[in-house]
Formats: sequence, structure tokens, C-alpha cells
Amino acid sequence: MSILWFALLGVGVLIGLFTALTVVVTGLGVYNANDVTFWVLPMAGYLFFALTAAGLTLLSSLPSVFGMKQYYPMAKRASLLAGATLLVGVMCKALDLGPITTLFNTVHLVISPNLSSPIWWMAILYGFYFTFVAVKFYFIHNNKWHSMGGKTFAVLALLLMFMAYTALSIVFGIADARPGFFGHFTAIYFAVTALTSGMAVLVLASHAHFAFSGGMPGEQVPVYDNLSKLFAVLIGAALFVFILRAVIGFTSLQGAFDGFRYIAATGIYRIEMWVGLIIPFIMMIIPVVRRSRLGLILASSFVLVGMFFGRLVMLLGAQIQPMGNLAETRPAFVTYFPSMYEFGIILLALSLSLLIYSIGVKYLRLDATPE
Amino acid sequence: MPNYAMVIDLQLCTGCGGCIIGCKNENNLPEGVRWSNKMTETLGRFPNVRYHYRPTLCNHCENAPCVRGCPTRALHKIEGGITAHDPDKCIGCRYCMVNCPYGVPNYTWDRPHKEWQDTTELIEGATYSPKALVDAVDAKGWPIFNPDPDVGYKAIRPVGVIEKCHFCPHRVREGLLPYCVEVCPSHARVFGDLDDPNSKVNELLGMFRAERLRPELGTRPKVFYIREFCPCVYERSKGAI
Repeated sequence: MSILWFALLGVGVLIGLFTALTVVVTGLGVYNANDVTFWVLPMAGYLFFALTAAGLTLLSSLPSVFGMKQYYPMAKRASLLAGATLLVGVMCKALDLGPITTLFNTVHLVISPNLSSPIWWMAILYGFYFTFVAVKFYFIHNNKWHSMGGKTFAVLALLLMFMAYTALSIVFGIADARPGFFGHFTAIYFAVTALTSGMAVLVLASHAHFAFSGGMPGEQVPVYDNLSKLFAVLIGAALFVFILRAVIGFTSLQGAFDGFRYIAATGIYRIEMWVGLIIPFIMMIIPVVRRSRLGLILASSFVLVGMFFGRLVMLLGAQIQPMGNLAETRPAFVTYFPSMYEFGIILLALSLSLLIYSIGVKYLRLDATPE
Repeated sequence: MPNYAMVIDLQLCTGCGGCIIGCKNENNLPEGVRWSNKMTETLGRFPNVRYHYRPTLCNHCENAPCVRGCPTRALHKIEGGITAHDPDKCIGCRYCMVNCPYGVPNYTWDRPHKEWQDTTELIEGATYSPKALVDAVDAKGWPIFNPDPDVGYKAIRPVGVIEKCHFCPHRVREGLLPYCVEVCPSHARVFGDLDDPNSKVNELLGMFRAERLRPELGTRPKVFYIREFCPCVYERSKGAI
């Protein structure tokens, strides 16, 4: 099983690497993007993985920063998952910039910074954030949870998560030209859904591991039982901000929300609502399902699928309605379906994050706690 | 230092698209990219229908949201308040496309003028292939390559960066008008210095009520529209129920 699993991930990574190499050599012309829908599936991948990483970083900080010591058994796992999802999230964004010549230009983030640009802050803060998450994991892995370095980097990783997350929210928040991004409400939407998708990854990764490794250690049962309940609450909170966003989008008289209203009538919005929120919420408020491993694995998988579609909904809702002179010779709403290269980038991100986690499970004792 | 602006007289504009073509030629724009563009609108119900035509270009906003959001200052202000772009600094993030309310920046998705690298002859042995034609006239990229924008910019922008109208600074620095202004056959585009009280743009702005695109966003565009082509007359009435 293990060999088959790693072989499968290897194939995913290889296909993904071919895709990434094509993008780096030829540019973004291989995506089904254009000047109207310019932030598409790879950008959705970036939002999905980077926000999931934010949620995981907060969860991994519960015992070490906030003193909730009962959660130590999941902290190392959450920390590795945060690093893995953050790495592939940043990779998705890099593969959404352009060919190698454009990627070289990123040196100007350092030598020609624009401090008034939220994108600049986002890029720089995510760089530091990833570094701190990696160093934090190094300290945890070496059982130095409570060393000066361990504590410092746990706090720094959390702090940088908040800062990077804030910058990402502001990127959309200040886009006055596109109210379809929901302005600063996006910060609230991101906060709740990031935590929910982070929890979903933790629940899925933990229970999938326990399913294949002969069961959960007895002393960890109360911890994961608590997490399951917390997961249910988070899905409920995500459903609440989803409804709030729908109310804003449907009741606004601004024509800029027509794109959102159009997207809301499509399958991807329904997947976000039903698969990502309503069905898992119903599942998780039924005690017998919440306590079953299969129920948790299915509910968390559903949430993650829905959240991914939700990121695409958010991006496309503000783009599919051509703006200004781009509306010339185009219909009121443009259509979009990802190219196989866009799917390839997501496959690479998914395979790589799973590969990192699987290696962690196999070699890094992810349920280790401070002695 | 001047403060350049453009006034477009919609009464003089015939909608010929000469500005669009002229701009494409002057700046070697690749297929699908337009720095000078248009917005059209059809209003009314047949047979009482009216077609409105508005030429567009970068508004070179005083509070340019693209400049504020560009992470590497690839989009920046140069002399005359022109919003310029440096492709060597552009990281292709396309945040300018998010922020521009006018849909102005274009991202170069594919290698520019790649159709001119085609070696297929339309009639074998009788016509040039696109690539052979480019080679025959010793041009770069496409047969009517204009090297002039190379002064301070790139005559052809590479793949993976954005590009946009820059008021032809390579011409303005030489005392020439932007090319879209130069080629307009009906003198509908007027270019000049907003800070010069005697400039033609100020003369027109002092004479007619001017309109700017989406002023509510606070971008303070520097492309003004005056008048409207309308030879219509109608019989006065208060309408009816």
C-alpha cells in the first residue's frame, strides 16, 4: 500500500512538473486565461493552499502559544501540514506570474519595492512566514518545543501568519474597481474559511493516517473528539459568512455584483454551498457521524472540495463581467473552463503536499509531544 | 514640468478607428492587444435607435490605482504625469488589471507576433511565408516594425508582462504629439499641458462641459470627453401617458 501510494504521488508530481516546466518555458499562454478572466485556477490554488496554511498555523499554535496543552498530539502534524500547504500555495502563485524571464523580475520586489502595494507586502510577508513555519517545525521535530528558539519561532510563525493573511485580504479589500471581490468583507470571509479548511485538512490527514495505521492511540481520542466538535462549529461559522456574502451579493444594487449573481447560478457555486458547507455541516451535527472515522473523512473531504471551488467562485465572480473597453465585442459574461495545464498545476500542488505529508508520517513521528 | 492630458471631442470623432490602428503600428502591438480602444453602446428601440462611440485609452490618472498597487514600481509616473511601465521590473502579477477600472492593461499571454514566425507559404513557391516576409524587410517581430519606442521603453514587450498606453513619450520628448493624436483625421484628439493656461486642452475645457470616466472612484483621469455628435432635432413635448 505504501509503495503504491508513493508511486501514485510520484506520477502526480511528474505530470505536474512537466506542466510547471511548460509554463516556465512558454508562459501563461497555456492557461485558458485572458485579459478578462486573468486570475484563474492556479490563483484559486494559491488562495486555497495559502489560506489553509493560515488555518493550520493557528491550530498548531493552540498548545504552544495559547497554552491549550491537550492539543499537543496534533501540533506537530498541523505544523508540517501548514508548511506543506504554504509551500505549494506559494508555488501556485509563482506559476501564475509568467515564464522564467518574468520570474527573474521578482528580484525587483527587493530592489524596487513599492510599500503602498499590498501585493508587495503579501510577497515579502509570505516569504518570512514560510521561513518561520519551516524553522518552527525544525524545533518541534528536534523536541525543542519549549526552548527559547522553539517558543520564539512558534510566536513568529503565528504573527507572520496574521500579517501575511492581512496583506492577502487587503489585496482584495482595496480593489475599488472590482466590488465583486466584496471589499474588506473578504477579510472576514477568508478568516473563517481559512480556519475551516485548515481544520478540515487536519481532520482528514489525521483520520486517514489512523485508518491505515491500525487506529488512534487511546490517549488521543479525547483530543480528536474535541477537534471534531470544533470542526462542526467552524463549518457552521463558514456557512454563516457564506450566507452573509450571498446576502450582500444578491441584495446590492451595484451592477458590479452581476458577475457574482451569474456565478451563483452555476455548478461551482452549488458545489461550494452543498458539498463544502451544507452537507458536511449536517453530517457533523449528527453525533454518530461525527464520531465515525468514515464520517469525518468524508465530511472533511467534502469541505476541502467545496472550499477549493469557493476560491474559484470568489475570483471569477469579480472577473467574468468584462470591464471598460474589455466589454467590446464580448458577451455580458464570459465563459471559462481551465486548460489541462491549469489542472496540472493543481495536481502538482496536491501531489507535492501529500508527498511531504506522507514522508512526514513515515519518517518524522508526527504525533510526538513534548516530553 | 508639464501635466499632460487629452481632450477627445466626440462631436468631431467619426469612429473610424484610425487611432487604434495608428497606435498598433506605432507601438508594435501584438495580435489582440489594444492600447487605444473604444467603447460602444446602442440605446433605444428600433426604429428609434442610437449608437454611441467613445474612443478610449489609458487615462493616465493622477491617483493611478495601478501605480499604487504595482509591487515593484514597474508602473510608475514619469515626466508630464504620464503613467509609464517598465517591463524589466514587471513580475506579471496582474494586480494592475484588478485595480484599473477602465480595463486598460493587457497581459502578454503569448510570444508577441508569434504568427509572423510561421514559415508556411500561402501559395507554395509564389508567396512569402510570414517569417520570410519579416526577414526580407529586415524587421524585428513583424514586417512594419517601428524601432522608435525603444527609446526609454521596449519596442516590443516580452511575453509574461503587462503593457499599456504610455502617451508615446518617445514622441512627446521630441516635441511630437502622441501618434493616436497625430493620425486622427478629424482632429478629435487634442493633447496638451493642463498646467499651461493657454494650452488647447485648457481652452476646450474652459469652453465645454467635460466628462471623465468613472470619476466617483477618485482616480482623477486625465482624458476628458467633450461634446457629442448629435445632429438630431425633436419636436418639444412633455411626453404622454
